[in-house]
Amino acid sequence: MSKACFIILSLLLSFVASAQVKIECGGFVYSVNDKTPLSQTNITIQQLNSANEKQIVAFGFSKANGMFSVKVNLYDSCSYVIVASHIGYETQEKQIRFSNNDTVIVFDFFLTPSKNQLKEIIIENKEPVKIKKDTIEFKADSFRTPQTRKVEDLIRNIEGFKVEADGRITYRGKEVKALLLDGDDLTQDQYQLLTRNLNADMVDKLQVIDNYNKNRIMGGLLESNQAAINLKLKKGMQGKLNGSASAAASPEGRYEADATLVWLKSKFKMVYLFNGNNIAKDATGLLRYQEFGSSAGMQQKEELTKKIMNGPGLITTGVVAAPDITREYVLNNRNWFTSPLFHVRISKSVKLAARIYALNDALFFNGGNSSNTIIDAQNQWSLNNAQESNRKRKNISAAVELSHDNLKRFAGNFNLQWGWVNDRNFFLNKTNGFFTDTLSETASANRQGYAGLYNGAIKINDYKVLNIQSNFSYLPEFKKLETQTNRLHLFYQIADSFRLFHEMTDANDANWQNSISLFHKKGRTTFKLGYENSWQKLQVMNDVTGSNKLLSSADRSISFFENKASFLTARQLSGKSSVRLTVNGGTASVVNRETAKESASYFLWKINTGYTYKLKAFSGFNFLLGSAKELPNLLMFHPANMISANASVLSGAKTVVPVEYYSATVSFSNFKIMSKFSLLISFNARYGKTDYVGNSLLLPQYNITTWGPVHNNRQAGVNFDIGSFIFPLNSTFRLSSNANFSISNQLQNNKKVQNNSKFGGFTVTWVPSFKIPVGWQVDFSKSFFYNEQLNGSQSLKNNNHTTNLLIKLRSNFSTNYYIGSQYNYLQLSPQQKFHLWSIFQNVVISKKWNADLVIHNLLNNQRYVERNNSPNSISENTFMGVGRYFLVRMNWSF
Amino acid sequence: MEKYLFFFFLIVGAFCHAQTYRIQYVNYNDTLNPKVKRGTIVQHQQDRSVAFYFLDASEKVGEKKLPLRPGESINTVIIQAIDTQKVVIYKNFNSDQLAFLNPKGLGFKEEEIYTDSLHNFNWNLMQDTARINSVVCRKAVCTWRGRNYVAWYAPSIPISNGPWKFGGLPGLIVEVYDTDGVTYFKMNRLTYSDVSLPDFPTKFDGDFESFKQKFRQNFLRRKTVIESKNNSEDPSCVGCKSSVTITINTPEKLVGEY
Repeated sequence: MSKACFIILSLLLSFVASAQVKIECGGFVYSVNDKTPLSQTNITIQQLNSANEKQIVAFGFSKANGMFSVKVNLYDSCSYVIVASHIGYETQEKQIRFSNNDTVIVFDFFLTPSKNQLKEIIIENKEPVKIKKDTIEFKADSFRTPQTRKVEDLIRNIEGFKVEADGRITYRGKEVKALLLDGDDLTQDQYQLLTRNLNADMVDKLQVIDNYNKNRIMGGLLESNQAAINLKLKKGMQGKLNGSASAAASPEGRYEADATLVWLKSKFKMVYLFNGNNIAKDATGLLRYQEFGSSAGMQQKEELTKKIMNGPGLITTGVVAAPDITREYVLNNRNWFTSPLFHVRISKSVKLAARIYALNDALFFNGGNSSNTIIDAQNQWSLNNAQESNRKRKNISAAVELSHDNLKRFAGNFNLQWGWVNDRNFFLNKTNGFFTDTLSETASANRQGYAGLYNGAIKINDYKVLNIQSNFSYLPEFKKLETQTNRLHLFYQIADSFRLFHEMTDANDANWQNSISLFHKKGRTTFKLGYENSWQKLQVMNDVTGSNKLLSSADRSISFFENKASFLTARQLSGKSSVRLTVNGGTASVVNRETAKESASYFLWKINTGYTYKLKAFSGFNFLLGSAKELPNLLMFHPANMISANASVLSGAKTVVPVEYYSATVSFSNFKIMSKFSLLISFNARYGKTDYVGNSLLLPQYNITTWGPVHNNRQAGVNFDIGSFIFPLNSTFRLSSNANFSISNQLQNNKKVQNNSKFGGFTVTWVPSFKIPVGWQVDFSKSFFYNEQLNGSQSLKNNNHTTNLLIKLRSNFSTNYYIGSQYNYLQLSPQQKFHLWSIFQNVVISKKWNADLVIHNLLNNQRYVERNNSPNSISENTFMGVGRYFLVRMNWSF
Repeated sequence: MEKYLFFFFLIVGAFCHAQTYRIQYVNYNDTLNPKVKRGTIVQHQQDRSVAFYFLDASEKVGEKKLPLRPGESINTVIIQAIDTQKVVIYKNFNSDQLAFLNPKGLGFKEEEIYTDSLHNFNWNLMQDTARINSVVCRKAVCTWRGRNYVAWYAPSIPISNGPWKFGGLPGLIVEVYDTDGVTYFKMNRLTYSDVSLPDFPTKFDGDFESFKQKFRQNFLRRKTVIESKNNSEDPSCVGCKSSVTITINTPEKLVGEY
């Protein structure tokens, strides 16, 4: 009985579970507006499964009269919907309710036109990245987020690019030398002007070009280690004024305003840029080295890192200092800049470009205020101490470039530059009590620069090219440092004024370099024969006065003249591998004049040999060996671009002796766009038998120190960068690390000094792409910088660790609204901790207008010590407590 | 106010009806040797569509250099205006008709227009999904005219059309290919267009069966001539079997039974 019941029950259950009903779903589809029938409407019958996913079980289409009919077998244990979708209309969905007796169910649909039709329909095959020979092309739209305002933001979003703090860009370890706008160079090396100010919305495609050479004819001869970026602007910008403007203000008195105008008219390009702010934003990349504290260490670290990445070069050692806090953390600041850029194609073969910029920057530091009460048997005195300091810079620069390229046999460019920089650093320490004591320090520099450059190439025949280069520059510079105290004794009414320290340096540098080279390229082999000469003269007058006494006075000049012959051969071994040998040799005569004229002659050489296996653009294997004995350049930082704000003459270089070094570099890089895999590894080792010539006078300081040449300089560095898309975690993961060390010996005041420095760090980036509405990114980096100077029994140490944690969250709740949040923790030392938390919101009001709300929260409760230029004192300053502002910004583009 | 709204929607509605969608596909007619990449463009309206071919996914008329492959010295094609404008497929959704143009050659002295049934595929919808060109697609398979086809269609784009003769799925066909590797289409662009479409032809040279018969006859005749001329063993021997065998691969198997 029970068995029979069980069988019956099972049968019933199975019948219930699989009861199948054959139903015809039919009806009409109309447009809701005019009640006209809609043909070709997709009708699908979809089954809902337990996970609420839909599965199409039958489909059909409406006829010309709007009628449709779909036959389908339905199970009464399942849920079904009927969906009508038509291009240009909103999709409609209805639940199918049926019983076992139903054979026909009628559904009529009235579809409404789609509001977002235009937005939705444009679908293109967005291969975000394409590689064409030496060019990698990125579709800008694929890398833009609502927070992507400027071209630099766009570049930061693209894998492989790194943007330095000063705005200089590297792509897969190669330094970007130029930024072109539709193939034309408007900025002439100062491309940060465009990357930091041009709206990313204007860019259609971004191309990065390997083996870039400004001169078309020279570009085809030899592979270069330079890259360039070409921005292809959106179509439809021609013939009209395009631009953007934004204005931002906060109740706390913060502001930012910027404007960009772009006018393109067939042969003419004009870009006008402006930015003014007091939110510590460096819109030019030119304010970088004005940060307070000694920035020399930071610069050297950056230069050294770049050189290790890019191959051997002269690395300056000597005085180093810890990296200091970045300008975002200096709350009291204001700066503005303006820059017009022009480019005109005078004819098919002649182009003229002009770049002008002017900037003004000021950083104000509010020092610590302290008060003390002194009580003795008879009196009670109160002492108050207040400190303040500021740094100001004014800089104007202009450059004009005439390029000629007849697209056949001749290409060349002629460049003229002029610049003016005025720096002023001021420090004040004021004590009030029973006396008033004011200590003030002013360091100022006034520098001008004039330069002319010519680079031309003539194609003599199919195999031979003649290249002529000539550079001339002249830089007069005047520096002043003054320390003064004023004391007013209230009780005795005695006023004293002391001029503690006074230094004046009047220097000028003239430099002229010429070269002529003949290239021969036939088949796989290239030869070059060349002659180079270089003349440089540095004149320095320097007076130092302490407590109204003349401590030192110097009037000296250094000049040298070099003559060299050069030979190069390069051979393509197969389609991918090539070898290269460069030999350069000649003589130099150096004349030093101080009290008496001293002259010396040297034999100089430079030999480089290398092997390259090129896989594709920006990837392959490189091995380089090099050795040289050559005279150092007396210009610091940017020898090729002398009139930027960052150029500076090595003040008071006393002697010039050749440097001799040996180096080896091995590097390998490869990347796969589809799997998001990339690898970059490089190793550099270098031994300098004699090396960099130290300054004889460092500015500003109070002790006259004589430095001898650095020797036995041993340096090595390794860089490692790996990025990968990890499938199980559905995430992009990147690890970058570098480690470098340097040991060198030097004479300081004729005593032996050893300089040791080590620095390195790593960055880990994790970008998960889970299917949740919030996108996020985590960056964690740690770096260390250690410098020690051993001077007999004395040891000066500088040890610095930086920890940086960055968490970014972003979400797009609707197409018109975006919210992102960012937390940044920065620890420079146990005393220097910063927490920065900001929220960014964006609302798209219309095609031309959108608004941002930025909540910026800088939390720093720590006091930290800054060594100022006051004699034998350390001033302890609290630069900020809580920096919070609510910035509302309106953005307008046209 | 309602009156204005009525007019507004009327205009919007009229705009929607007049809309032409321009769907561009990349096409290889022999995926095993994809030297010549072609493109096809489908101009789709609510009631009809037309499609034409162009070479190398380019609409530029003139000399075009194709990418070099190992062992090739030069690979240049001349794209004539005719290549970019020739309508090869007409579809009329209201009357369920399809017409196709057969180009000159292979025994067809003139371009001829034949009719065919519209979207006569017996698609089986699969559960597989994939993201192609950032569009979520579903898989469908069918056996049609001697070949097994796989299509990926986008339910989010309710255009029941595709390249060449393909269509009839509840969404636009984004990618379609056959398992023998004879033909391959992939959508790479979908935009608006404001072109007006040509009318559906009114004069035809026959239906698909007559086209197939004519094609087969022409091909077999040509095959016999070529194979007999290439009898390297004994050129004077009439009726001897050739050392060369001519075969043809077409998306629809036009020669042979299925």
